[in-house]
Amino acid sequence: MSKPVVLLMLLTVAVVWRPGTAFADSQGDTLSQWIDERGEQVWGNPPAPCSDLTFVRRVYLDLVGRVPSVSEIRDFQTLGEDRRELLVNELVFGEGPRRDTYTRLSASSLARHWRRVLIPPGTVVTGSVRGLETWLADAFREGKPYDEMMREITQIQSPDAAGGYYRLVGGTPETYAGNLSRVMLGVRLDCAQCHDHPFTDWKQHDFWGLAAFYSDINGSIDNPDGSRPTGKSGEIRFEGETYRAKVLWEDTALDDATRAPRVRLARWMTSPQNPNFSATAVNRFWQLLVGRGLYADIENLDLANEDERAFLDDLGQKFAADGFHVQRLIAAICKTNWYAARAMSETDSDETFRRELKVISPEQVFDSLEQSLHLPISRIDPAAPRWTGARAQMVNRLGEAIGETPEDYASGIPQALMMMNGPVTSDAIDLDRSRLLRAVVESPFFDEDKRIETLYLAVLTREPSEAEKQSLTEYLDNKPDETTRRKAFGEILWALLNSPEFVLCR
Amino acid sequence: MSMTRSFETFSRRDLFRIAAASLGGISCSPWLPKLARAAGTKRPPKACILLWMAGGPSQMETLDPKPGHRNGGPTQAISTAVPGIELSQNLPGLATQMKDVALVRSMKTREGDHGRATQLMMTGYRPMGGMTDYPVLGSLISHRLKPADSPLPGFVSIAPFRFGNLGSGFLGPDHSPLVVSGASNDPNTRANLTVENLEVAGGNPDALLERQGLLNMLRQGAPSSSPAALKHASVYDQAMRMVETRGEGAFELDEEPTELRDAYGRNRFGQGCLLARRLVERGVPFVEVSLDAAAQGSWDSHVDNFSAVSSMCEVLDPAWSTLLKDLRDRGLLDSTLVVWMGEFGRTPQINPNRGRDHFPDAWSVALAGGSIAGGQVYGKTSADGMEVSDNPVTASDLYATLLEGLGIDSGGDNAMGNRPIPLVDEGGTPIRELLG
Repeated sequence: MSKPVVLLMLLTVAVVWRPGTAFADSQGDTLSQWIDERGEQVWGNPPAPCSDLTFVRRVYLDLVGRVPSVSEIRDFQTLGEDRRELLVNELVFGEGPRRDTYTRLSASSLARHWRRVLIPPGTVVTGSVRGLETWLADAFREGKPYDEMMREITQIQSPDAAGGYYRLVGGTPETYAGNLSRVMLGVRLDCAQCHDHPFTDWKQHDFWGLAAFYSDINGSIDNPDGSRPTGKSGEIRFEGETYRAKVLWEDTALDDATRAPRVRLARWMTSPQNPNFSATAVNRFWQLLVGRGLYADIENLDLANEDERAFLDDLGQKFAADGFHVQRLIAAICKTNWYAARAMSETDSDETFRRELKVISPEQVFDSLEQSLHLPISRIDPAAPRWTGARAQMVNRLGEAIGETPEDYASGIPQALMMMNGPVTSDAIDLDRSRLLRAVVESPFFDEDKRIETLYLAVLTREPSEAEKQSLTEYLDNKPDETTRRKAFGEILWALLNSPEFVLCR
Repeated sequence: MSMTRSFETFSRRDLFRIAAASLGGISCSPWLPKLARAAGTKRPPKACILLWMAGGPSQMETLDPKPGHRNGGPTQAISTAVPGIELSQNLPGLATQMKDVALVRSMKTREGDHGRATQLMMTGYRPMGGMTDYPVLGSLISHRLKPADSPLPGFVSIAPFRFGNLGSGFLGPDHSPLVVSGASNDPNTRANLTVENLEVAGGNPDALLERQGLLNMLRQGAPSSSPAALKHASVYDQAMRMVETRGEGAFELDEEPTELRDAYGRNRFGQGCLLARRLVERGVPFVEVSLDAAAQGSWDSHVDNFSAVSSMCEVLDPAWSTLLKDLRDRGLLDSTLVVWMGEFGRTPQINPNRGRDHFPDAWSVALAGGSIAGGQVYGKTSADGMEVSDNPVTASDLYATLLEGLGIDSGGDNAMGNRPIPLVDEGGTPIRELLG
């Protein structure tokens, strides 16, 4: 069978599979209902739900890191009333025939996201982040509880433990302390490194008290302007002062701090009594999925007042009570009306809720292109962009301009130029080289409307609007001959790939 | 909305531009006659070139030599075109341009870490733990001086190397830098400074018009109330114009005479300075050229400071001095402010590795062109270089001076949402002596 015909089958034939009904409470359904109700207390009635196709696009991007294929879309459409819940279960818990694929994809997608949380864009890193990402992916795939992951990161005994995070962010107690409080507690202590914080209550002894837990990690990088160990665990020197290990929100230093200081720090950090730990965790997952944190300024949670963080604190407690089960939390959020709200429409209460468009990540851009364009993916295929360096190139370029939140489109001219004229796009719109274009344009079973519709589904996960259909028919009718008419499909594909909808998930 | 209607959103001017762009393939450079005409009839617009010395160059081996003092090391001083002003022996070229250069030898800042100091010197604000995402100098200037109708961006950054991720901050992607990368830094090959992906995909420039039309149609689907969609549209419009005009030919360094290219230095920094001049000629208000390392060392000279700085200056000095001369020859120096600075200086005491460490207490920067009164030294360090003995200058003072030197009111504000953010951090006072 020739390649285009195989592809054609992929585009049209749905795999018939109907998942069974799962246990009612094991997949976040109860929590989801609770979130819906709690949300209504805050925001009033939810906005109208998004369309099925939009929902499919969202969950595939959010959960497996790429847009759905045309056959995955068709599969979804064959499911019944509860198809949205079933799809979430399939992608989050790997229910169904594609279990291995989805479990692997969702673990690596989560790992990429958390790698960016741990090492924000622009951080100067020492070494490669691959090891850390692998460590995270393994943890997510095994279903390791969130608190356990964070405990392992906190109680490291060497700079290479927990994926080498300590070494990556600079290999000093102070950089690690600053990162841990930011990542796990939503508290930025960095400015208390040199002076007492001007706007919040953080003092130098808070910052250095946290750094002191790491003073005896071997292999710390020697920074002439940085801290000095004192020779004792749980103590650190900076600018002539000695600071003893101390956790945040406590006035006094740890008793007997030389005794397993990091194990005790880890216990305190991840304890359900820690006011910020579980709240920051759920805030981060909510931001990942819905676009904006329940308290938007995630890394300055200490600036939130009680009202502003009430919902968050409650949700955090639920997460803790459920054993910090990451997959159940994700499934629960994806099954809420809030997740499924139509973008850019608001609730009518004072505290409005609105879903903005979400900027997709650099890896999501490439992986979606790979999916939409049917790029070869086999490791032994010399033309597979995933393995030739094309993926790394694209991810790096897009990675130069990442916004602070998923709602913030930060790309500039170089990123736009790459999407417009880069090698992946050039190949995609070339009839001789583009697998998608050939499958669509050369298929004898498709009329022109069907061709346009298939391009839209493959790239944007939707059908063209009536107005778009009319415009495009007109556009094609203006082509003087058959050759230019065929080539025009490449131009249409160019526009779909470069449209705001491709990078901004609706 | 029908397609015909969408296509009507193109003006005749766009069509003309496209035609001109395709003509550009056969004629050598269609833009220069227009530029020359513009230059002849009115004063060129204000611009700023920042020579960014990432890593923190040693003041004692560059602008503030201390021969005869133990802290000065083996570095000798040389006389310059201005009697009484001396520079280090590493900068013979700059010495010939001294009449246009003002030295500030009394920088006094408080950040001694690369990342934090870079943030301070690049934004004019001390790092405050992410309360506000301050824009870098290039974005500030782009925001103020970018011409509305220019197809080139307002801020170009050539071969950037910086500690930390700094950008346009709250000014948004309209003023984030267009990064020009250099594929090779080998002085024996060409430093090919290019903007990647400037060629129309598929190779046919005429396709651009159709693509613009199709894209406009698809944009109707994106909610216009979404800030992300608005930014996307604005960035794409700029990128389209870059492609249409092929960056106004600015990147065709081959058009320059061989001798001039040699004089700048056949390395990434040297050719970057030449490109900076070509960009300024075409109306780009801010160009940043970075220099952080050369064949034998870097500015971050904790070890073997003297050979490292001398090696760096072999790249720096020809490029910097040729740039000043070239700008003057073309009548652009009075409108173009050339700033030379890093994030801090180096310790006057020489460490056991014959190196110098980070030192923010007393260090130097240099300004030339624009409204700067050249041929002078402002501020002074003590004989041992350990402290500022005269006229200390803070980062805010320097920022206020730079802005005034470009004709921008340094007391003005930017808006972040509804919140006014002063252009210059509080306490910044322009140094009148430096402004001619």
